[in-house]
Amino acid sequence: MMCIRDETKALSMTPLLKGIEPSKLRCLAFASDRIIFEDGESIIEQGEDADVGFVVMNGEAEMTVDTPKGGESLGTVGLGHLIGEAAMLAGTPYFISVSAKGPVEALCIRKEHLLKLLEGCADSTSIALQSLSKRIADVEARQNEAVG
Amino acid sequence: MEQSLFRYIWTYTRRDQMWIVFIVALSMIPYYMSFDLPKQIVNGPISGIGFEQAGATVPFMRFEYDLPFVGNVVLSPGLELERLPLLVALSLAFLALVVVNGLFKVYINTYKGRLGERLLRRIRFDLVDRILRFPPNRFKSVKAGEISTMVKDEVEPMGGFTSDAFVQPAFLGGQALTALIFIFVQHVWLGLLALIMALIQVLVIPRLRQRLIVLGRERQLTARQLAGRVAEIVDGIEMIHATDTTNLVRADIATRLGRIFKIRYDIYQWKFFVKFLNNFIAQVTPFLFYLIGGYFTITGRLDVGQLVAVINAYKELPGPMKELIDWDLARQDTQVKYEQVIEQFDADVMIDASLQEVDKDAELGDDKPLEIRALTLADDTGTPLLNSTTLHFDMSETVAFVGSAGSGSDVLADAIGRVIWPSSGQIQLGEQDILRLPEAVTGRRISYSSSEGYYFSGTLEENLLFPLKNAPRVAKIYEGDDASFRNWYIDEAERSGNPLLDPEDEWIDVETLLQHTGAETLRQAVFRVLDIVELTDDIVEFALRTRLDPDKDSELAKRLVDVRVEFRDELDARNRGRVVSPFQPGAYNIEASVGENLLFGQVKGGPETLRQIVISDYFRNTLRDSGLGEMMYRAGHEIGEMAVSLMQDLPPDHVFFERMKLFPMDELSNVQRLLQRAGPNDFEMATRDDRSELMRLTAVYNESWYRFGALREVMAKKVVEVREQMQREMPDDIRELIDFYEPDQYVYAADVRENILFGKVNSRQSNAEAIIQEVGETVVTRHDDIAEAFLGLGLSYDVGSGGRRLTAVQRRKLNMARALLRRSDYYVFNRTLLGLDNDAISRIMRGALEFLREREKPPLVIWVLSNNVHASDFDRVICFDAGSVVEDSPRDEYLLRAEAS
Repeated sequence: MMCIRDETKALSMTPLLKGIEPSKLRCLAFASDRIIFEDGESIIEQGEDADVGFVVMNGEAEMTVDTPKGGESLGTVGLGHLIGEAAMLAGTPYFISVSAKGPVEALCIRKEHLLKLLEGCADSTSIALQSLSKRIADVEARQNEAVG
Repeated sequence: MEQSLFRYIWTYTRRDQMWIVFIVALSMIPYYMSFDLPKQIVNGPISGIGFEQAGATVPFMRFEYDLPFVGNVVLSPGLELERLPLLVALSLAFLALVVVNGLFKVYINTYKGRLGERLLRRIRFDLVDRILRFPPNRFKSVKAGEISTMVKDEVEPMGGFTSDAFVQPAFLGGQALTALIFIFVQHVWLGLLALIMALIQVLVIPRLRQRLIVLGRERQLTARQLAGRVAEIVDGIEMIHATDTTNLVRADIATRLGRIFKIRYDIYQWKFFVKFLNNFIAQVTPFLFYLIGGYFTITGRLDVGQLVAVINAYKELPGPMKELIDWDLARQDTQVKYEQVIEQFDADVMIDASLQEVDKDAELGDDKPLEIRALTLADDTGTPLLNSTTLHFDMSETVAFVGSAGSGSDVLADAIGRVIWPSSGQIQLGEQDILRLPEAVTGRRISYSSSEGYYFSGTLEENLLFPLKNAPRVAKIYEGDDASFRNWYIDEAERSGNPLLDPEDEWIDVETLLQHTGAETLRQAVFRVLDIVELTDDIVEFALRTRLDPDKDSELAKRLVDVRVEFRDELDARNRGRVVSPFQPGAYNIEASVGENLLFGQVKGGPETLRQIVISDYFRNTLRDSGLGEMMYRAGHEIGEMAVSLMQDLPPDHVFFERMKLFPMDELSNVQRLLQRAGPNDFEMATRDDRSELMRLTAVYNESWYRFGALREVMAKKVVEVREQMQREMPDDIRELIDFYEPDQYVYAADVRENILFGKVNSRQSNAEAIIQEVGETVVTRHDDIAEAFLGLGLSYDVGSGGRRLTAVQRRKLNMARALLRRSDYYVFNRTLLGLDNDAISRIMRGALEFLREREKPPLVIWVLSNNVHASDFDRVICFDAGSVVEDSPRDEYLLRAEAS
């Protein structure tokens, strides 16, 4: 049984939340839900409203993006990765789809909680901006690659 | 209704009134005889008058009277008795008279009471009957609270007055007159004096009391307004809270109460002043007797004996006089109240009573077209809502009225539904004006449904079937005691002018209904329309939240235990067993709280019962002796520490703490102090309250929810151990408060859903709710009987006052289902599905149209739409704008034109 301590650790591993005090991360962990996905189960679907994000605690998840040619894999992510981060920050639907590759345990973070946390920390806003623009650039590059 | 209460009473209770006057007169005979007897007993056998010689006898029951002009008349010669036997005989006679007088009193009072109650019943019924016959616009100015207080409270005194309306004046008047005549016989001048004083009393006092009546009327009005206001507060409570106007309401109520107080206080002041005056006049007369009578006596014009007789006779006068005046006051008072009430129940135009007569066989389905002839509709101020409009609708047509609010489309629908009456023009079924047709025809041939329906508190099913109950079809058969009660009821209803209709009869014309819906049973017909309006899922949801009644539903409960097993198997078969963490004897359920794991069952009754269990000696001792208490205490400390450390940096009402349910947020500082006061190792030393609070924290703690890591393996094991120990040796008085989780038993204290799951939803599993929903549906739909029982359970859901326990959308769907269930020739749906999204409207509308078209003779359907999105589903489209028809064309033509523009 994993508890809040482990979740806090996982949260602090995500680039976006790296600089935030552990006590606040602990609160965020407390406010969030623990969810287990079976192998192959969808975690987020491209195009759906990004109300929540998932921090991977255990296992691996595969990212895919829909292109006119069909689904294109964008590789896998693991412990400490925040799935859906870019879409939540940008206030857009999910850019990509992510599904479990083998069983995945994740912490489901609500967008309003995430924003509330970032709002209170001056540093994190610029980190968030950087992170967001980097991600968008990444995705665009890959999409272009996929299309081209 | 009669303008005068007196005439109203006389009309309906004449015979009873005369009978009661007669009986009262008759009762006077034994009454006066019982006055005379004590004197006879004392003077005769006790003092020994007439028994001076041994063996002397005196006649018993000898009636002889000295009548003026006739002389001595002997009515009965009597029985000669000796002294002791006479004492016994006279005493027994006294006892007999006591009994007879008592019985007379019982009879008279019961009779009068019943008379009053009958009249009260009649007035109340008449009033409600008039409400049912008010024209619709009347209800815009009527306050429900005021009307109901009139029917309930204000007419109440009229019942009481009825019984005394004639008896009292006859009786008291007789008494007063007798006394007065006696005085006249003794002395004419003194008689005249008494008469004049009596006249003053009779003329002046009622005049002074006029003011009391005025005040009484004000009191009645203000009290009624208060009742109306209170009802309005309840109805408008949401707006009052939302706009922070509670204090305005307080101010208003306090002012009204102040006014009422003032009026009531004035009444007291005036009442007691008049009372003083009345007593004074009554007492002045003897003063005059003493003075003037004394003067006459001294001057020798009157002898002493006469004066004493006059004064004695006068003693008999003020009592009846006073009561007569009181009676007159009561009469005026009730008359005023009566006028005040019936004035409110008078309307210039009333629906004729003959239009509302019960009619079982109102004809249906004779293809009469619906005609709108030069119809104009206006609001209260006369502003036109619909300009003169003429339209013709054939049977079997489906017509869309398209137009925004204020375009006239909805008011025309309202007029067809008779919700508003035309200012000019007519709506006709064939050649007849719908307002002149009996409601048995219009109310059945036309089914009207709007977005605002009427829902009374009761079950969903009762609300759904209500509009089908037009006339009693099959009389309920009463047997034995019920039959005699029914006969008595019928007799009484007739005497009070109430109708003999019995709500217990079967009022639904089931045959027509089945024909109309194509279903085999009433229930199936209901399910069919519920399906069309897409309420079935909601109803199943209601069923899932129901707690079964062990007395009535034991069969279903047994079946649900089977369903529980099947549900589990199905989950396992789909390899989804993990979504529910089941209750297993001998195992700790990680998804449930420590307390629930310990109790391993549901408490019957509310939180109070739980408290009762927790504070019981048995429970406390078991926790202490087993060592679990100390473990829970320690864990409670840890949980408290963790919660406090989480919350100390952020404000306690921060969104992050929404899921914190261990203690209320404003308790945070108290918990902090508690943790300092009672250390983790102080189980024995801590005060009882502190110990309980820390143990409580553990009891409500759920490891899977809070994830503090406070649930150690050892404690979980101990909990299961103590649970099993308690289940073995728990005393009966506690045992009967708990419904334990046993895999093969139904848990009545839990709802249906909890019983099927028989475990906790594992919130960590993704999509757990959706999987449970789907598997549940699969399992339940396998068994027709259970699916039907579910719908039945859902139908017994209580919709609450005004349907407030339903959502607005559910209410509208229900309203629509009610209309569909009725077999009518014309259906009018006036924006019935307001608030639903376009797709849902489309689905339900198509379903309904299809359903109605299935009939052998399809009805006319008029549907008022807010926009033209759905217009293509109708044969004919009529567009409204600014109170006029701007387009009326068949569908294809309309669509072409719409496309072109």
